[in-house]
Amino acid sequence: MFFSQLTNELWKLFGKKRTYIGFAMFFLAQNVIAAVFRFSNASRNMVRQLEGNGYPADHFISSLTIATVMLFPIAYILLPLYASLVGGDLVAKEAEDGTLRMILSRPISRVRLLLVKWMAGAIFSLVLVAVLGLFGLLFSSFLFPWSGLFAFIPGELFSVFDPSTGLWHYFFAHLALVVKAVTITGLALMFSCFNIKPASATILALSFCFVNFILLQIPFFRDIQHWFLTHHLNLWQHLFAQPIPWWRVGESLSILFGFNLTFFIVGSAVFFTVVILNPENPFGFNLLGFCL
Amino acid sequence: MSRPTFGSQVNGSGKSTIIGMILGQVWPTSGDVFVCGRDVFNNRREALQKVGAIFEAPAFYEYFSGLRNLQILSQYTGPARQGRIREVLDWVGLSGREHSTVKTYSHGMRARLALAQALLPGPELLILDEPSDGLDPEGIHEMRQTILRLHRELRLTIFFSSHLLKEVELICTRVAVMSQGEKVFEGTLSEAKRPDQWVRIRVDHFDDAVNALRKMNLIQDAVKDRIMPMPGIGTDQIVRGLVEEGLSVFEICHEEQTLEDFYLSLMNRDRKANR
Repeated sequence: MFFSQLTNELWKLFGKKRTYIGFAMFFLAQNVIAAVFRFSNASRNMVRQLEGNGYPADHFISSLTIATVMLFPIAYILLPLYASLVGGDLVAKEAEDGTLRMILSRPISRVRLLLVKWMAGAIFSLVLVAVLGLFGLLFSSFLFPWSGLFAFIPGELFSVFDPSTGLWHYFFAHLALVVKAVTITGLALMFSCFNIKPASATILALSFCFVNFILLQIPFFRDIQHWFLTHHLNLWQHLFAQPIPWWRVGESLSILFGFNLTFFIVGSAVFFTVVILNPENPFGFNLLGFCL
Repeated sequence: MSRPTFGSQVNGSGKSTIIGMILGQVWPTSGDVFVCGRDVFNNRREALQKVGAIFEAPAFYEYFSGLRNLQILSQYTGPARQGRIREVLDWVGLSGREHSTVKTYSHGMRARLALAQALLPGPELLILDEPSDGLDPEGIHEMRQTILRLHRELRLTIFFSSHLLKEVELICTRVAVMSQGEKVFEGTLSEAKRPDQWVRIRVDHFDDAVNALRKMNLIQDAVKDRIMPMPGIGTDQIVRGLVEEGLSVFEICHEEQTLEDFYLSLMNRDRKANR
């Protein structure tokens, strides 16, 4: 029963055209980024960093490296956008369209319904990130050779890997990105339960992430950065480190688990109390009839 | 056939709120809600297992076919057999159009699809909240005939809610009138439409007739073309009295109160009480 209800949610989710906006934009963004790196001198800084540290640039300016480079802007901006877009729709869109009232007239409990929706959102996040990773590798492989991986964040990260090790790091980073996408979808789902418009839920979730991110840029907040959601959402970057700081990854994962649980509990509590009605004549005179 | 039972203390709410409470969508501030003898809030699964509901302006997943919508909605009660879905589609007359997307459906077809989804779990109780809303006169007639057919053929208990008093009069056997969240009347339709105490009369000289009847102590009040006989006085005695006084009586009859008259009188009484 639970499985068929989950299948239902997936049907609904993947039946909507707007669900595919994210995939389409990834396709576009990744192709543009790969082309820019191939046909301009955008890779100059990477070449300088590699050669400055004694690594052959030709070996590391590869499809794996370009796929990783394009991951950064997408993971920071596009992924939260599309995760919150779908998460914000999960309850609020159904409430807005009136289908939620139809569902809630059936003997399914609200917590179960929300759990099914959360799981559908998590599966969407998984698919979104999988497509992001696969598209990245695919499109960059059209223009760049298969070779070593170079991952670089100024002042934070400088790693070089042979192709097979690099591919594992790339894979693990995407697993961590799934956690990020699931968390943002869960955050948007929580706001979606507040009986507001779907767009408002999406904007609230994005605002929450962006405000977190902006605050983290202020030196004062750097000292307490581990209290911020976005600090932990960026754990995927650590999967490109050499060696991987597993304790740090574990810490972020456990904190994100706590965040996800909190979002779900708050969302459930709100969803449990919210009134899904469209009263035509509230407080007016009404007539009810029985046909026995 | 089960009878719907409800017992809730409603505070300042209306028709949709009451239906919302029956379906466990709205929490009552106090009291309990029982459907088919089961507590909706403590035993939701069992209480709503055999309940179907339709709301005004039924909403569906527009991008899916009618069939897919039924499959999706049925999963929230329990998976429906493919045969059962076909049976229900046949019953509401949507066979042949089940594969078309809902966005291509007319109002009438949406109303029929709403009915189909409500019938899928094989309900004992069907809750209809303004099912005729948005339908044209032909659609309203069709919906009324379908509801009556449901009652006649499937022996369903139907809880019907509407502002269209004429529809209520044509469909229901029992009525309840709500005012400001409180039930101000519940009874059979014949109790609501009980013959009026006023009697309409057409005579050649109304004023003379009234004077004569007053002298004979047969009436207690009179307005325009209507008289109110004294308790226990029948129309036969009125006619006899008038004929004996040499007055011609062309027509006399008790006026049956319409549901609308009854509703308005209840509301007026309610307003006066609140003043």
